[in-house]
Amino acid sequence: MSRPAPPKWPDRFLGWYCNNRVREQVQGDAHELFYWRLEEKGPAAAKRAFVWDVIRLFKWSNIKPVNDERAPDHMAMFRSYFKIGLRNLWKQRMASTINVIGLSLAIGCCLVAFKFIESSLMKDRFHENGDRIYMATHSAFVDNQMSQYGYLSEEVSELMRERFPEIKRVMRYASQGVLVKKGEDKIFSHAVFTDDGFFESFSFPVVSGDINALSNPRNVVITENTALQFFGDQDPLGQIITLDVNNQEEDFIVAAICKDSPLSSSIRLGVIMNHLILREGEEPGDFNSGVLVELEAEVRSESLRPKLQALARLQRDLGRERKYEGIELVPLKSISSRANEIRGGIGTAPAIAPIILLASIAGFMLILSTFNYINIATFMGVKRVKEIGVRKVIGGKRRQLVVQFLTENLIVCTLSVGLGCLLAAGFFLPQFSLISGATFTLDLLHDRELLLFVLGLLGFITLVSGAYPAFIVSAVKPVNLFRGGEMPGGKKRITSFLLSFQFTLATVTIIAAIMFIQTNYVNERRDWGYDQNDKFVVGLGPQVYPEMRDKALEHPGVIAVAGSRGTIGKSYISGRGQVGEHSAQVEVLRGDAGYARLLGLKLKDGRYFDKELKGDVKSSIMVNEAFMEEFSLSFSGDNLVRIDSTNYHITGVLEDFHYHAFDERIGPAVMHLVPDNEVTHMTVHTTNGALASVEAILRKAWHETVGEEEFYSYRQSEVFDGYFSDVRGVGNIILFTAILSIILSVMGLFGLVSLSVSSKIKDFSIRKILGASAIQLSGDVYRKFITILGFAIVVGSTLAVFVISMLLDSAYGYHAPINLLSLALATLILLAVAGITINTQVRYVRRINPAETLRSE
Amino acid sequence: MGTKGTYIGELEELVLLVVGLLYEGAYGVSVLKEIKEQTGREVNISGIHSVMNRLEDKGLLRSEMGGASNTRGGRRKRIYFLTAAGKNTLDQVRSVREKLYTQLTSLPNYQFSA
Repeated sequence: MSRPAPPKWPDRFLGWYCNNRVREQVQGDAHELFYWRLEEKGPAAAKRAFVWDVIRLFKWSNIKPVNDERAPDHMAMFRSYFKIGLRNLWKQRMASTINVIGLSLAIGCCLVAFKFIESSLMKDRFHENGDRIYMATHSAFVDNQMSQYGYLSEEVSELMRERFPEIKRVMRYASQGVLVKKGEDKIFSHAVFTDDGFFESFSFPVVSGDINALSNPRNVVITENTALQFFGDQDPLGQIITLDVNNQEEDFIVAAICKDSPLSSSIRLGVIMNHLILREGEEPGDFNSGVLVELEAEVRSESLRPKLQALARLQRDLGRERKYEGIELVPLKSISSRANEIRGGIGTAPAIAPIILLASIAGFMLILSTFNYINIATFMGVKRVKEIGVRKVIGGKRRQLVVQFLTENLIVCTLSVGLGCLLAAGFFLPQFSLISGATFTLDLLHDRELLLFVLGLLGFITLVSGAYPAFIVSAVKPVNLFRGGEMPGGKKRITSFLLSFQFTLATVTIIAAIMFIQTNYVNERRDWGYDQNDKFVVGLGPQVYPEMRDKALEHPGVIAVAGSRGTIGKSYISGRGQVGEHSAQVEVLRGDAGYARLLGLKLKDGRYFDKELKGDVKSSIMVNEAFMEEFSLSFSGDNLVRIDSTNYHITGVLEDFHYHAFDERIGPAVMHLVPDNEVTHMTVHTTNGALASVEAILRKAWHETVGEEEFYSYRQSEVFDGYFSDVRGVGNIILFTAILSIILSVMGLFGLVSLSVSSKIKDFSIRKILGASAIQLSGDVYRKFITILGFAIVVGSTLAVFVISMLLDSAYGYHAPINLLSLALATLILLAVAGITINTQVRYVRRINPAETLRSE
Repeated sequence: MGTKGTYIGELEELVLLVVGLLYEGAYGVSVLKEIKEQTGREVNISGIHSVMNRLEDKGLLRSEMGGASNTRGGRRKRIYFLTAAGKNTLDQVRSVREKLYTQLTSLPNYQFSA
């Protein structure tokens, strides 16, 4: 009987706008009228009349919400949802545990990534007056190229101070290292040179002392940490501090103490001094320094543009070598993000690679754990269809069911977020701080951005992980359900898809970890191209090399001593090499005649330098193989090379050696001879085992020769230590990621297997009674998951070959190609872990006693 | 109840009467149908609802949720009953009207204008 029904959309509209109190009665009346008119006037008229009725009934008395009844109702409803939610979670302890652990691990990772990314991208946001502070830059043509420079000459900043009433304060800014005298030693410290008013413009709180301390050039301000370093427990205020600025020692008075600059600050504080100290005796026209300005309140930087142009014109008329094409104010907040385009400015650009790495790790983890959750929650929900059916039959609405499910989700996610925060604060962040060398802390109460992020994350995972199961499960039709028919469909494919995706990700991360660890292992044992053992390097002041050399050679344990400017592996300068028409960047190393021989650099062609030959100092050069290759030269004993603007003869070709750590490939490099008076480093080759004693003797000799200055030495074999510890850190992060992703995927797998087994337990029992063997039964359990796993491994391996190679290429100059071994190892690990996981459930199936499982309902 | 309840409009009076007539079967649609049958007037359902709500506010009607029927898609009706105050008001209106009417008819020499 296909009786016409009231038009659907108007009817829905009617149901939607009516308030709870009148909905039933009004809609009922409208329907009844419709059927009455249907008989009297026919369907068309009835429908038209119905629409009219709906429009007429759209009035305030029918719409207005009936608050008095609803509010308490809602509270009770949510309380009940909450209670049911808690009970369900407790009932499904295993699944809930898997979800909470997985999600909290992922959230921990996200928080670490957030803190790191925030600190590197959101720089200089903490200054109260930050909106009014700008860095002054100028643009100029240098070498026919227009660039922006982050500094101004003294005379321009002086003009700015005089002629711009809109600018409240012009502060010159420079930073460089200074040596602080402490007892016998001089210790390096970071110094900022600026003008009075610095502490009023910037939010670096002064803890004690005079905020205007810098008005006197004999005063310095130091940070709390610096104070601790140099004065320990003593009160630093009023103390005398001796600083060595550009080789001039002077005494200063500590007049104030300020807080240390936070990680997110481009301006790094240590010792803060008056800017005058820096440029004593310099001509103002030639002297450049960074300039920070604070505008008066209400002044917009755009309005200053014409005046700044005029100032640039004025500078051009001064007739200096550099002509300013324009002067621009760059907001303090963007000096870090624009650091790459502004030369010589304050602040450095954030490193992109670690940001991407961390963000993708956090993303991976979030994806893995959310997928776990979706899978398990869908499965759990499907097990609860009877409950849902009953609730629907007695009048539960779909929306209520969705809300109920989302409430349960919210409980799980809140729990996970809490746990994740603890995990991040107690474990992840301290570990990460160790690796990254910066201190990160988690302060939910005072860090508004972090709080927002955490809340956003909570909302996001609650919706993303909960929405799918909630909507699937709440869509069941009770009629179908109780008739014993169809279960909510479609989920099988989705579950398989999510699981395959998880295992694909796991495969990729495992292969990445294997490759990184393998590469690190190989690189740490890589031949450096010379013998780095039993050698140590002493940093020298000017003119002390001959004396120190003679003292060293007196010792019987010393085989040889050589001098250099900078040491191999630690430093080199870049120059422009030219042979004929071809030019390329070359790295320039400088050592005395014995340096190459002492290090054990192997000669391929020609000869080492000879200190007896006068010509060697001026016009001889040794090059590496890469150099010969780059310039397609073959050694003739008389090849001519131009480095920067000097011509050299090649006297010898060295076999390639690692003058740089393994993150870059060996490029063309040259070594030229330095005379004794230019030597800054002395390398001592000792007999095996004598190194420590020789070093001690030289330390004594050093103090006898030079006096109290600090003795500075390191072993040649340690020059790559910093690099190694960095890459080991990266390797550890990736290993950690791999382990986490295995754990997460396996937990997901475990959850799914055990749920699928327990939902089919009767099935298994009956087949057991009918004589199915243990192997047949376990085969059934395995079969479902083996395809997924196989698919994931194949896709993951293929993906890894591309993605990981790219990653390795960017991280290492030298790495092994992704080999079958690593793929096989990854497969093995995954299969083993997955096998063990599935096996726990297979054992359970084998052991069930059909008599028991079938008896109980 | 103040004096306000005694003043009711024409449609209100009609609805009050019909609700009283239908006794236990008075709800939106039945009132609408009854009015149409007895007077030929077509009132829309929205109007009926507002009148009945108003009368309930004035205390002349009271209501409760009643039985459902198939044509209503299983939804219940709101059944209205005449209260004692409602009956009083009807009596009052009637007596006022009759008093006035008898005075009208007792003017024998009145010329009814066209």
